[in-house]
Amino acid sequence: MLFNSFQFLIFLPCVVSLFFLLPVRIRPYMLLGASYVFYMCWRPEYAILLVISTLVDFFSGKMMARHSKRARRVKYLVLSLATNLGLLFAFKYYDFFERSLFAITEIFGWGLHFPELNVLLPVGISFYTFQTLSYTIDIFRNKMEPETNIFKFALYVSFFPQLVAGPIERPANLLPQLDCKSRFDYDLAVEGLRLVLWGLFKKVVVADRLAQVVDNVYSAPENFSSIELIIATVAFAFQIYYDFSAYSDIAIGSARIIGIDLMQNFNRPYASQSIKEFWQRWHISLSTWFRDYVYIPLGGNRVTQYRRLVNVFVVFLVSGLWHGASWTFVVWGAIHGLYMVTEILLSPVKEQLLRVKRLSQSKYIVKFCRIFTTFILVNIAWVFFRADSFPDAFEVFKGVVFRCDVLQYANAASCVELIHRVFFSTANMCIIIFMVIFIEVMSLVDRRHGMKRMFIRFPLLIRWSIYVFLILAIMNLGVVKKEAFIYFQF
Amino acid sequence: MQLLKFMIKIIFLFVIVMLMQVLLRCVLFPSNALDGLSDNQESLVKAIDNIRAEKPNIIYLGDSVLNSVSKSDEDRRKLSVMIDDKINDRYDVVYFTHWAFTQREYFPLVKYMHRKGILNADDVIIIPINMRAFSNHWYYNPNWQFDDFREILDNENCFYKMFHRSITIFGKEMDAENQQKDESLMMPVMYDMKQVGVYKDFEGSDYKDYTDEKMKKKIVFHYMQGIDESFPLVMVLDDLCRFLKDNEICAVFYYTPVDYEICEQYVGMDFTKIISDKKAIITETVKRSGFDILDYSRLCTTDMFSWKDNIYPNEHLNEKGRKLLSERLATDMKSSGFVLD
Repeated sequence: MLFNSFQFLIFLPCVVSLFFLLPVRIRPYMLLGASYVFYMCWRPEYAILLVISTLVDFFSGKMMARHSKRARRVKYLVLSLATNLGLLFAFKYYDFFERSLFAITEIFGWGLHFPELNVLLPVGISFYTFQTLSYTIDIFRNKMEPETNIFKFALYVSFFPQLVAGPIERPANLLPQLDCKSRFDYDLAVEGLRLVLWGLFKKVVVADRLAQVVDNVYSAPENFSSIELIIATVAFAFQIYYDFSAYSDIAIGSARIIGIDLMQNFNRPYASQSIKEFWQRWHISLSTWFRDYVYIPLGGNRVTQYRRLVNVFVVFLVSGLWHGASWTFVVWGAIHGLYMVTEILLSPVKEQLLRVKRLSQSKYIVKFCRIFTTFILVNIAWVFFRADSFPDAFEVFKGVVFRCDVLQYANAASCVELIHRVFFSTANMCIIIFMVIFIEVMSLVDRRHGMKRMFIRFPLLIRWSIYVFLILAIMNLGVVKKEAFIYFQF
Repeated sequence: MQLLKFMIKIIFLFVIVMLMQVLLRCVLFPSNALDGLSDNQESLVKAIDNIRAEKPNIIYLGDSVLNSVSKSDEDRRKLSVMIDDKINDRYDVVYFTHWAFTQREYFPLVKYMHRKGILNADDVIIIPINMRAFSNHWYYNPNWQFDDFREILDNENCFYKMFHRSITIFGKEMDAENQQKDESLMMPVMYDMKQVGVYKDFEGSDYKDYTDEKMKKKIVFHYMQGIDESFPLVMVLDDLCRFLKDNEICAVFYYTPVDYEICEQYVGMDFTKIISDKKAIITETVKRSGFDILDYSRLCTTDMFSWKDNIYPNEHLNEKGRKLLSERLATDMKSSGFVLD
C-alpha cells in the first residue's frame, strides 16, 4: 500500500480508531493483522517471505538464549543470517550476479550462463531483513533478551509504518513499545498527523515534480547541455531527499499517532560540512545500522589506520550494494567510501588549516565553503545513483565538462528555451523553486525553534490556514504521474 | 473524550478543505487556469481551449515528427511551420502535437474539439499515421500511455474538474507504473506474426550505440510486427474515422515517411512486405469510412532522416526531408481541393 493512496487515507484512520477502541491486550494482534494487510495489498504471495524471516529469527533468538555455549549460539546466528541474507540474495541480487558473472567470463570466452530467476523484487525486503537481523545479532551479543511472544515479534518485523522503507528500527527501541499500552494523546496525534501531512506535501507536490525534471534530462542526457545537466543533478539531490524524508515523516507520523516513537532518519543532510557529517544526517537508521553491525565488528576505530580505512571503504561498498543490484550503486558507495577515506587522511591537515588565524575568524565563510564543497561532492556521487547505466553517467559528466556554453544563455530567449527544455514551463520552475525554499525555511525554523513549539504558539487561525494550504497544495499542485517512493526499489 | 475531540476536528478540517476546494475551482479559478500550473498533460488541455479563440480552419495533429529538428540543420523551422508557410495565408492552421501521440490520443481530442465547437463540419483536420505506432512496443509502452490526458478530455463534469487531480494522485495502485514497466519488459516482440523475443532483449541501455547486430534488432523491434484488424490501434482508428464521417468533418490522412533504405539494408525485403501488409490493413480501415490516405511512406531517402540524433531508427526528418514533405503535403492538399491555391 502506498502512503500517497486512497487506500492508506482510509486504512490509517481505521487502524488508529480500532487501536484506541480495542482493549490493550488485543491491540498488538490488530496491528499485526493491519501490517500484513498493508503489505499484502501489493503482492500477497510475498508475505510468505515475511513469515519465513519472522519464524526463523524468532526460533534462532529463542535457541540462542537457551544455549550458553558460543558454538551453539553461532550455529543459530548463522541460520538466521543465512536465511535472511539468502532470501535477500535470491530475490534481489541473484540475477545481477548471474549477469555480471556472464559478462566477466565472456571476456575470457567462457560465457558462464546460469538460468535467471526474473523475479520481482519484494518491496521493503532490504529494510525488514536488516531490522530482523539486528534482533538476532543483539541476542547473540547478549544485548537483549529474546521476545517470548511470537506475535509481538512478528509485529516488530512487519510494523506497517516502517515496513517497506524504514526507518530501520532496533529491537531495543521498538519491541518494548509494541505492548501498545499508550492511551490516546491528543498532542501526539496532532503532531503525528502534521508529520503525515508534511510528508505527503513533500512527496506529492515537490519530490514528484522534481522527478519529472530529472527523468526528462536523465532519460537522454546526450541531448542536454552542461547547465541543464547540472540543474537536473541538483534537482535529483533534492528529489531523493524530499522523497525519502517524506516517507520517513509519514512513517514516523503514523506511528506517533498511536503513541509509538520511531527514530529520526534525516537531519538536514545538505547542511553537512563534511561527508562524515552527511552520513550522520542522511538515512540515519541505515548508517547507524552499518556502523553497529558491520563497521564495529570489523574492528571499528580500534584497529590500525590502514585497516580502519579499508573497513570504512568496505562498509560504503556494501552500503552501495544494499541500495540496489547494479554496479552504478556499487560505484556510488565506492565514491562515498573514497570521500570518507580521503577525509580521514586529510583530517590533520584540515585541523591545522582551521587553526590559521584568518580562517578561524571568518568562520561563516569557512562554514559556507565546507557545506558547498560537501554538497558538490554528494552531487557528483548522485550522478551514478540516478543514471540508468555507466554510459549514461559518463554522458552526464561528459556533457557537464564539454557542453559548457554559458554564452548560449546570454539572451532572454535562450534562457526561456532552457527553462522550457528542463522545467517544461516557467510556472513549473517557479513552483519548484518556491516549494524548495519553503521546505528549507521550514526545516531551518524547525531546527532553530522547534516546529512543535512554534505551532503551539501560533493562533488557531494561522495553524489551520497552514494545514488547509498544505492540503489544497496537495490537491491542486500535486503531480498526477504517480511515482512510487524511490526507496521502495531497495 | 480526547479521541472524539480529535475526530470532530478532523471532520471539521475536512469540510473546510472541501469548501475551499470548491471555492478555488468554481469561483476563483473556474477555468483550467490552475491546470496550467500543474503538469504537461493538463497544460495540453488548456492549450486546446486556447485554440478555440483562434477559430482555425485547419487543425493539424501529430507526434514528435512535426516538432523535431536535426542537430545539424541550418533551417531550424519545424515541419509544422514549414507547412504553415506553404499554405495560403487565408487559412488559419493550428497545430496540436505531442511526442508519442497516436490515434488513441487523437480520437478523444477530436471528440473534445467537436464538442467544444472548435472542429466543425467545414473544417479540415490533418492526421498523420505513423506506422511504427502500430506495434506492441508503442501501444503498451508504459511511458506513452497518456491516460490522464484522455480522461481529462472525456470527463467534463464539475465534480471531476474539482477533484480529478486528487483522484488521480491518490487513486492509482501501488507501484502501478513500475509494475507496468516490469510487465512491459516481458512483452513479446513480434517478427510479422511470430514471436522472436521479449522487450528487454531489444531495448535498454545496451542499445544506445550502433552495431550491425543492434541495428537489425532495433529495426525488428520498431517496425517488424505484423498486425491484423483486431490490433487495438486499428480499432481506435476505425472509431475515429467513423466519428469523422458521422460528423462530416473533412479529414486528410497521410503515412509518415519511413527510412525504407536503411531498414531494407538491415532486414531485407521482409521489411517491405510487412510494411505493405500493415498499410493494407490501415488503408482498408480508413477507406471503410470513405477517407483516403496520402502515401508518403517512401517519399524520403535515407539522407533526409535525422534519426541518428536519437538512439533508434525513427521518422524524424532533417531540413531536407521536412522541406520535401511540407511541399508535397501542401501541393496534394491544394490539388485535392482541401485548400484553395
